[in-house]
Amino acid sequence: MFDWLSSRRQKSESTQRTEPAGLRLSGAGRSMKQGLLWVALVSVTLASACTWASAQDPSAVGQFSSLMNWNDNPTHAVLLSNGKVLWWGSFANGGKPQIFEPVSSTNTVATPPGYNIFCGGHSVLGNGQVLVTGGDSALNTGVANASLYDPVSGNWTFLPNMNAGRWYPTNTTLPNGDVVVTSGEISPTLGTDALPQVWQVSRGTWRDLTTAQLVLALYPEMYVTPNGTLFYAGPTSPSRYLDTTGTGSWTTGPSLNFSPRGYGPSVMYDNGKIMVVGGGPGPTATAEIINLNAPAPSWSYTGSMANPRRNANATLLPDGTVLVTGGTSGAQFDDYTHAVYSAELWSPATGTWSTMASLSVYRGYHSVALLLPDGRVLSGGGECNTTPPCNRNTAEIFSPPYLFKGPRPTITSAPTSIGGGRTFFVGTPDAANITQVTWIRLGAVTHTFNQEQRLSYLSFGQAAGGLNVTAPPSANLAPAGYYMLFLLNSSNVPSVGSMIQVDNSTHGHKHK
Amino acid sequence: MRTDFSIDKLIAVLAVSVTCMLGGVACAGDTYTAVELGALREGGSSVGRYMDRAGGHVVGSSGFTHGSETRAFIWTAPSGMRDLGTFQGGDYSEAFGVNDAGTVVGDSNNRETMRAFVWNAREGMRELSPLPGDSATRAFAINNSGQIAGYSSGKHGVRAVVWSAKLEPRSLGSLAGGNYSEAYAINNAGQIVGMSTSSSGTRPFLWTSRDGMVDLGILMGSESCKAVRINHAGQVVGSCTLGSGSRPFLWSKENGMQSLGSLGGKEYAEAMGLNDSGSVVGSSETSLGPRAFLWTKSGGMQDLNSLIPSTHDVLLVQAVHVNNNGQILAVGSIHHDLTHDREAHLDDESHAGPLHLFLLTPVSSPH
Repeated sequence: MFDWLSSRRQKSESTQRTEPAGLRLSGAGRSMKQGLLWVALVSVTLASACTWASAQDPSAVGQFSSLMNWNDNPTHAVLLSNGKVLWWGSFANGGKPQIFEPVSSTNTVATPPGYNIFCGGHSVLGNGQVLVTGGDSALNTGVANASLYDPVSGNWTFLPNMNAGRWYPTNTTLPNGDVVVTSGEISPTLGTDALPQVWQVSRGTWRDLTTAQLVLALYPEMYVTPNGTLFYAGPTSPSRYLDTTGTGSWTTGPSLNFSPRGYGPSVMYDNGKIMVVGGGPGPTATAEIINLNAPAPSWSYTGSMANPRRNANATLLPDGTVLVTGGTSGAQFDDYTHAVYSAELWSPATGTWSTMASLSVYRGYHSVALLLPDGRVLSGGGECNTTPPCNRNTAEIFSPPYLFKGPRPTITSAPTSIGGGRTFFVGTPDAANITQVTWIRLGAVTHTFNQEQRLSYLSFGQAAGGLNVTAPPSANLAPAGYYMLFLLNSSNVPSVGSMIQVDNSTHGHKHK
Repeated sequence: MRTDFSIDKLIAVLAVSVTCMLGGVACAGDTYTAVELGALREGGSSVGRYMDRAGGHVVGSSGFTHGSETRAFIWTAPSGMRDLGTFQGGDYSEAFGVNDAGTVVGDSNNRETMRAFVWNAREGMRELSPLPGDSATRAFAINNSGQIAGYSSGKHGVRAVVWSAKLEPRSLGSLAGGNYSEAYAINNAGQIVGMSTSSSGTRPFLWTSRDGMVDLGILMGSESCKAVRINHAGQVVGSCTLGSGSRPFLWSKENGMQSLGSLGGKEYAEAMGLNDSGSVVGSSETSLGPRAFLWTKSGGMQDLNSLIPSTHDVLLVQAVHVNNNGQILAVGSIHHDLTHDREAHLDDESHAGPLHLFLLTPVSSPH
């Protein structure tokens, strides 16, 4: 009986949240005609319900919202500097972006880019415009287009084409705000684009890294390291470093302990510290971490998740923990029959995972998860549409446990823009109780990899009416662009994020 | 690493009633046999690039679905799919071309860059040198004389090259006003096609030792074109961007550049293969997602799937090459209920993979 409840709880968490299954059974059985069988049933289900209630305490496991019905499956999602989410679906709908407004939970149609940007790369420029690279002509066939979306005007601007089509490229923002584009399939005839290109924002031209030709996996997981090079973290091994100066060059890095980690996400959870988690074939429940600040960085295992996962998403939270949502534990690539509904939360302090509340539907291939400025996480989409358990044209919002642990600190004032490395004042009535200050770069996620999110812990000191907060000392630790600033109190409860633009053109420290 | 799947898992022989292929030219009444060529990784994907004129050697790349652990392969009927490995320190390789002797060209990562390779069964994988001062190379095609077409990349940019039979690289330059070129195909006469930037944009080129690099022009309304195959007669196929899509073209000295259209007039179609008879294969968007096509002068563009008996579970999305025997190398997916779903939009399932590689061989029917 308990197993039945447990299973049912996983598959319809949102329904049981408002009306737990055990209690509903007891109510439904008021008829005394069921006799002793009914009594036994009530006894067991009430006991199970008590266990469930404890396990589902939102201050321990968080809580997913009820399901939102959308008119498309969010396959790409980019957080804009105005706090809204630019998203678009898959295949023929890849040219029909929409904008989700988290406060009202409403969607509006965005201006279309004029071509299919499904399977493209994306990042947010220093001025808040979204750079979209490549897209979908057909299976394994990319487009060479690049475009900018302006969240203020709502318009798209065509940029000069890249060297070739890119299907599944990755955008990585450099310290100075330029953007490196890597990988992406050109076509079945011509293979993968091996040429990294740098979008030079101020010049409006592409710089070809012609001495850095290398075939990478699709949607390579790239990060700016503390010394300004780029680090290829996966999904294949070995890891590599890309020096983007001049015409570029690669050097080989350490090897993953488990490889390949196809469709296993990764995150930079602190300056120079990266975790890769899950992936397949397999899939695996293992996760690995690396500290690029070390003299000889190497990958090492951290704790394993409770569930193997492929096609999951990993999202940085303001308190430094990492939320993993969705995915499949099955051997097949997008196996909804082995859907993993429960989220898991990784603590960098302990290296351990905690099981969180469960999604309502399977979210695997082509699903997204994205941190919102209010500290919640948008989880939506997927490609599978076998109902149940799939329902791809939907989204739900996860409220992490910290939102159920008491009052949130408030930010009464913060600068909208700062120079890199500068100290700035943040007004808050809660200054005395603030124990951590973090910021997280605006996310841009698709195909399990968020190409933009990264977290830094900021140093701070008490000031009259607030805090003096200091941005990371190097632009390598905070590439130009927008960040959500969070104040966390002694209960690790974060404030609502305050949007801050980092301008590294005035950075006091040199960067590569 | 070659996997030892059971024969009935690896090889699905389909008796396929299709338009007749006689000497590479379409005529009515023949059948195809289709052989699935397998994969290097269990449950993985395979993509074919090319086969020799007799269909005895097929090359491409195979790995886990969506690209990891991808390796160049050569397939022969007696030996199946053989992993060609990588250069030392490499994590990726792919094969793009093969000649009638079974010599293969492609590229492989090494520890720090990508290098073109030439492979044969006797000597294994050998590296192709870049142009002086360059660091990376890529090879797309080899002819029966052992000449190889590709590109070299370095501080001075990316330049189309031809390697001689002695494996010495020679720059093909670029079109006037351009500084970037790549060579994709070479015929037995040593004629080479590819793409080059120019003062007019990205253009398809034909290179000969006598005339050098010549701009093949552009389809009306297009912004850029690439030429990807050339046959013995000097006919060339490629594709041009057109609005938000693309169009395949066939070029000949006599007729210039001709658009091959698309299935149902959809926005995207791309030419991928060409034989000496002028048959063209590729992929076209349809209302049901991408489909492999065969184009002939007499029959126009046909969806290969529409010619396959509906009893089979194979959905062909790309035809990447056609040889002089009329054999077609095609990439597709296998669906367990395709008979029921044949008219369904299965793009999402093809996308999730795995992708399978099929060799379609025409079988003459009684006339």
